[in-house]
Amino acid sequence: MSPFWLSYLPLAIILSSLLPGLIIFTLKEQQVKLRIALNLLGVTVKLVLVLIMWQAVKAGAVFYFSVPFLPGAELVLQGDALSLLFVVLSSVLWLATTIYAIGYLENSPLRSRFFGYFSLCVSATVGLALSGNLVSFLLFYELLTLATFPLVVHRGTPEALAAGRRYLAYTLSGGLLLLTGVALLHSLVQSPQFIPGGYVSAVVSEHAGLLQLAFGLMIAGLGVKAALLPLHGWLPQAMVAPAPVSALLHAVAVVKAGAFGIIRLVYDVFGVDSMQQLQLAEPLMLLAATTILYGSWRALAQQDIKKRLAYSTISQVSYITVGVAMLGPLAAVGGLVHLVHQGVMKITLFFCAGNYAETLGVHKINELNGAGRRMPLTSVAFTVAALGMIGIPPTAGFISKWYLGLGAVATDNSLMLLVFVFSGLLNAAYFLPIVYRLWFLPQGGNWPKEQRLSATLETHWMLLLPMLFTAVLIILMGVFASTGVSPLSWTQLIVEREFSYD
Amino acid sequence: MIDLSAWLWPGAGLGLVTELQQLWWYFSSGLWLVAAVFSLSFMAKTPQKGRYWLFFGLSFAGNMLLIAALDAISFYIGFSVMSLSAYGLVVHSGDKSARRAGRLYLQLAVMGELLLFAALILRASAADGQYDWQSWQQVPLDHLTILLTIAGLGLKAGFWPLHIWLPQAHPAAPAPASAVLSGAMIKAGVLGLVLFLPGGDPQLQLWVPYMICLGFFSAGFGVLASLLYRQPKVILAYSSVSQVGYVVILVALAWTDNAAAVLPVLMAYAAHHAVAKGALFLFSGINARQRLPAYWQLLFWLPALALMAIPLSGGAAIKTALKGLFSTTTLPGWLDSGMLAGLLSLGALLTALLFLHLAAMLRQQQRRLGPGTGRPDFAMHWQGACVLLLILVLIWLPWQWQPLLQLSLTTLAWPTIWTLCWPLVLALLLVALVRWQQWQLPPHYYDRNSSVLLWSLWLKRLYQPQQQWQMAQLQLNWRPVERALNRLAPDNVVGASALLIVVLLVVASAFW
Repeated sequence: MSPFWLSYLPLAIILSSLLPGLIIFTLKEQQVKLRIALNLLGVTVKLVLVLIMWQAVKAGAVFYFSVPFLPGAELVLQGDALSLLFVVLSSVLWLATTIYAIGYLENSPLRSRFFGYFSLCVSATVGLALSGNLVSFLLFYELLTLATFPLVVHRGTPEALAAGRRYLAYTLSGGLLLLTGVALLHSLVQSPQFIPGGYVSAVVSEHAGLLQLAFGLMIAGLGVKAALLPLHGWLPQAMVAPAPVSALLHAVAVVKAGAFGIIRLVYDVFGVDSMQQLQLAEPLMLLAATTILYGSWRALAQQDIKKRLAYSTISQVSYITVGVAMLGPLAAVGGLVHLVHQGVMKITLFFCAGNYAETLGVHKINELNGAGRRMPLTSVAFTVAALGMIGIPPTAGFISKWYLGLGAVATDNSLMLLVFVFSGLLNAAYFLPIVYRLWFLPQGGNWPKEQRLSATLETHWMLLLPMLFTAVLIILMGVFASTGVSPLSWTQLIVEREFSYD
Repeated sequence: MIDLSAWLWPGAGLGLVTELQQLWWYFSSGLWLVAAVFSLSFMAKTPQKGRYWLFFGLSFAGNMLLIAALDAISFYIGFSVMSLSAYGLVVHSGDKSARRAGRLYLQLAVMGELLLFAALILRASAADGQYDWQSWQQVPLDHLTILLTIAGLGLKAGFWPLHIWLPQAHPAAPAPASAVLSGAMIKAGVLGLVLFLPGGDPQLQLWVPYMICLGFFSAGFGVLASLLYRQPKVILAYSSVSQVGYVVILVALAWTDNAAAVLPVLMAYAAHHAVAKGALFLFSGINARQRLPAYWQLLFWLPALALMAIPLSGGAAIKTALKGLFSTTTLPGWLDSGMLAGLLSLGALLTALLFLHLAAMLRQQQRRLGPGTGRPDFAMHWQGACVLLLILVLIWLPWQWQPLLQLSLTTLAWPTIWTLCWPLVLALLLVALVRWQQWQLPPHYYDRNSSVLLWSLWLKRLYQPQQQWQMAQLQLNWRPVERALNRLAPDNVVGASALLIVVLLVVASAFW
């Protein structure tokens, strides 16, 4: 690959969604076809570029792009295996979500604004994944916050505005904490490029207390988006947003950005050795484990479908953090692969919830009785994703739980194995009753607000196709986990590179 | 053998490599197919047929997959698919008792699933990332793994005290589903116990005597509990609890060094029980539907007598072999082989009591149906033919299958016939005595609703709470404070503020 592309491909990947987004802002509401064409063009170009980059990184190429930004910290974009994991995830799911959103928002107002911010949001996510040092990461992290806010309040209802305010309050203060942490760390060791094994080891003995403080601040900042325990409050409230936005929040961008940041922080800033010397991993792991159980426990009592899914996200995303914080290679594989698996499973669930809401007007769980007969494909997808969340083989969720479990035993954290088992029980306890209602209970009266969106299918094909695509992915990623194209094999490559720095 | 390790995970494969797998495959698939043929006619008029066949097919596939699995993950996949799909069979009728039984079944199935998951993780970690049976058998076990495996698989195998779903789920499910639940799926748990816990492991040796005791207790408990119920399928379910007790004893004996001698007996017991219990469940389904001609009772008595171990039956050969195993296996001193043989005879007496009780209840059920047309129709013949097929296998098995043939021939000696027969005779006498004297327990002892249903309901309330404790919302409203401050402030705010800032700056510079 030519040096030009090695340098500009990361930038091109970001621009492939940023430029269409900016053009979409200028479009009139009626220019539907042009808008759709631009959206799909952006998605396609991005996917092609990501594919090229993926092949190159697999072969060992190094992508590096930088412009001067702050003294001692350039704006760096790089493409390593870990960033590719997140970039591929968000690009592929962006494709699904875009198609879904086009179908979902058909004939609703303010679509140009929506799709503009939608593209900005994905650009920020991809930028965050590709950023090569903490300062660039921080920049895109804040951009992501700002790009998501208009999506959360898109409906403009009082609840949406309240949720938006809460979202901003949480994420902006989180961003502030992260900024403080990054600044503190910058004052100690500058902000060099992310590197496996981290770059703080030189000052560990000298500034242990300050490093711990910086870590705590940054985890607090990232924990807001990753919905760690005391900072999770915005996520369930943000479920008032339209379904594609929820998908974006929970699976593609926001929550994942927080989790991804934690992965970067632990592996590429602090590094496993320094984490052990500073004794930072244990508290993080326990906090995440508490979040897993707390989120599942709160999900039990939620009667709103999307709210239950939101609490489930809080719980599931912490699997990633636990996997990372256990500091073992197997656990890392489990945590990283769950980044992908959780995204695909949760997006399927939100697509399904959106389909029920759009087609039948169903928002509450107790209104779902007998929906399996009216909407069989959606219900099959929901069932597959729910089983995946519980960790039933041969779904993707089983693979991540399996590696997390192996990692827990390998790092002598038998307590975590107990947490996984118990959380699996809780997952079953809040997902299986929904599946039961879908398939085994008779329909109780008319649907709240039924719409015929398609003459032959159960709902609009654009709502159906992305959901089926992700549902099939859940099975494929589970069954063919050991083949070369699976997320699992890619995470094994990452972990190989992360754990063999020396 | 199909090697899938290039496609799936290391060691993945399907195949019937060992004799254990082959036999399990034959009797399980045979029973499933007969149950399917039976269902064609038996389930023809029920609503939701499509759903029934879907779950029937899924659990069949899961059961076959777990038998053919050459590695633990394939086994686990099959096990999960089978257990979860069987839920659809249990709740098929959709009435209240089926839903309650289904809930209990699913709760325990998910628990078993996760316990087994934990055991698998521990085992796979010990085996260093290998999943095939051969590598697992080289790795020593530890007590936690053993406990988790026994609990996880035991919830499927259904011996005491993990049997609680059996008496609820079997009567609720349609007859062919009960037949496969009891005949094939319970055996899947047993197969798992043999595959996951390889014989000869030093840690496992310590469990053997306790598992033998557990097996005997389960065998006795099942019978005594069954005597308190009058519904034929509940009695059959308790009979399964009792029979699985013997299977557990055999599994425990297979964990010792004597495995080579025990395994054929274990296989014979499992296959024999599967076929006989399948036939009995199918018959109980026919029996509950319509009035049967008197000679149809033969379809009940043949498998019942086989399970009662009457001479010439497969049951007799197996029971005798089991008795022989006690004397050839080295067991701790407190498990005296004479005592164990005595317990087996007692067990035979109890089994006989159970089936005599069951026969009475089946007759009662017939009487309650009232006088029917008396002319069996085609559907009934079809169903009867399925039962007959199983019975033919049952009769054929001890004389055609090599390992069992040897045992069968040894039971033809007079002393053995006597040891086999006296418990039956004693049971007959006992039942006659009880009937003659009309001894009965007070009525409230019979047909009690099991307390496990209450437990299951309590659990459901626990995981489906209507409301939860919630942290008080902290509401900070600064606006009144701001207003109050504004009111306090003097009119020329700007001047005062400027003055304050200047003063502060001066103070700050003085201290700098």
